[in-house]
Amino acid sequence: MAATTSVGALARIARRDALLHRRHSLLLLAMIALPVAGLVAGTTLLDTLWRRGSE
Amino acid sequence: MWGSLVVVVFWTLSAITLVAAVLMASAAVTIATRRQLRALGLLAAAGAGGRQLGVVVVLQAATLGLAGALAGIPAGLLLARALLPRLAQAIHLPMYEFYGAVPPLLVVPARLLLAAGLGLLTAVVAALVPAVRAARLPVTAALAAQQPAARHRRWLTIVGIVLVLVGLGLVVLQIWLVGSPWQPWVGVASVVAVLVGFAALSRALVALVGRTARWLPATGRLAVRDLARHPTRSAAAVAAVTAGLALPMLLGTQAAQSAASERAYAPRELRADQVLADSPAATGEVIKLLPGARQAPFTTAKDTGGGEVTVHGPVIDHEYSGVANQNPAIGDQELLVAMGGQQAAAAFAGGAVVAFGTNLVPDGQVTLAITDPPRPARRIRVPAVEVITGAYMGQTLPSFVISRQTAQRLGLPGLTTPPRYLIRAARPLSDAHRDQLRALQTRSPAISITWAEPDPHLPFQEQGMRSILLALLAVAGMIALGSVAAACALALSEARPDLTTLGQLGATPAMTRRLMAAQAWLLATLGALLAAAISLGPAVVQTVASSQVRPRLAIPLGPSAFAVPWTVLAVVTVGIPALATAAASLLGRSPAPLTPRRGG
Repeated sequence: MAATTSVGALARIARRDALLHRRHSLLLLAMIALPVAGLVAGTTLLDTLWRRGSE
Repeated sequence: MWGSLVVVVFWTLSAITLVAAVLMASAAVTIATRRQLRALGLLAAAGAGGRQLGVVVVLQAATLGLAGALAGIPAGLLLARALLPRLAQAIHLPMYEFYGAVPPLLVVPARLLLAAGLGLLTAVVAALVPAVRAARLPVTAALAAQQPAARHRRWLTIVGIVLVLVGLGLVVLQIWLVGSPWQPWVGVASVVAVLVGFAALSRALVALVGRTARWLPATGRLAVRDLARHPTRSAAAVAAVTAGLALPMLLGTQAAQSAASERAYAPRELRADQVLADSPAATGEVIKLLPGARQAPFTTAKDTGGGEVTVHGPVIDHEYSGVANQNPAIGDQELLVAMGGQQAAAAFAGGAVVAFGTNLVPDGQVTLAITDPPRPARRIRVPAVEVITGAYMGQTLPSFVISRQTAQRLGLPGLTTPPRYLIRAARPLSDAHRDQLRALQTRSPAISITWAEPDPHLPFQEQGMRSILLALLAVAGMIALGSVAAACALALSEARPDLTTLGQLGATPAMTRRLMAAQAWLLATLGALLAAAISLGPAVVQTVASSQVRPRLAIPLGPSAFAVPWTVLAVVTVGIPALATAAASLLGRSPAPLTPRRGG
């Protein structure tokens, strides 16, 4: 219980800090979102064009 | 085959992109943590342990990573939707070719979850080093918002050197594993090891550059000293720039190697550096036009008296073997070299037939069918070796070569027929060379010379691959530009207090802008040089090692072709740093105006 509360408090602090430095947070968010978007686009295109072709 | 190649290329690029994302995100988290030092110090003063401070840093990155991953999924699906018609057209998908119909997207939920998981993992891994550093921070230093003085981390340099060496070792291992299903994955591992290794060396590089400060003019000296004084911040920015620029450099290098390999090894009637002439006079004229070219006389084992030798084997006789001319050429070592088969010189001198092609002689022997009237026809078995330096198709050059001594020993016909001459130029023929050869043929119609013209109709698949490569280069270029901008902006925003201090001490706005521009140029250039080393280093090692290793393999292959992607190299090492410099000097704001010191 204590551990959950502690993590919850730390998460609140982390969220507050993220909101406080919005530009940095948006930059980090974009740094993760772009490779994920690339991976999703790439795997979906591979599945659509090649896997379907080989079925 | 092509599909599996695309899958390997895709996962290689994905691995590199994820490593790049980890390095860039790590730089961002490092700098964000430095900005929050005071808040972390207050937490520590209120009783939070080092571990809890680390958890705050990791949780912050993880929250943003999760949000980024969730935003990336719909963005990726929209991107796939937008690219699908173009790709279907580029690869000549039958459904699109014939009916103009774009297939519906095949969305596999497990893959979306995998991508989101990798995004979250990237954020958490990126936050680990800053989190450990935050956990070890003394409370007083944190409250004063002061990072403890960075120690020179020799172990990081050693790890970097070891990783680069392991990566280069894997490049050599890859040559031994030719044809094995493990080869592409060893290739992926080697790229990742070299990338992480060189990125780890960015700190040592920054320290090395710091030593050059004393020889530079004032602005350069200040810029270099400031970068060297903050090695953590500078190394993180350099590593982030390296990671961003490595992708287009690797793609450009790969494309240049493929093009060089295509020139050297693809099946053809004649290579791009060969000319075939029918007489010594024609040969003399051609050699005058191509300085440094070497000639090799040869005859074909076929004469006007009905004598003929043909090469046979289970694969060679198959209708799909691609062998159009089964008469062997008879010549000396120069002929073998002119045909591009020098790696089989020992076997050739030992009496073996050299076959140009892939899997033509799986059992290492061929049968020579000899017709030499009035003697009865006979068949003999002789040893044979393969050379995969591009098969010769069509009737222009034979796919098989046998030495003159062996032909004499076996009593083959065709030794006394008038020779033809294969001329190999010092480099592939240029358009100007081909124009000169055409003019020579028009001037002297009696002369018969043949050379290879560039194929105006590249195969469909090759065109498709080129379109995909160009699209990947464009995407990689955008990622690289974004990463350089982000890394430089982060480093410069972090350097702002120092620039403000300089301003308060009397530096003019123009001087501080020049300083910012010099720092941006340094960060971008160091990152670009490391990216160039990451892509060109393994290519050089592969070429050097393959020339040593490949002739010893069971099937002798030619050494890997090496080519420098000059345009991409110039853009990455000169263009991008120039762009970063211009952006920093144009967009960089002047530091805060003069303010009186408190209490002063």
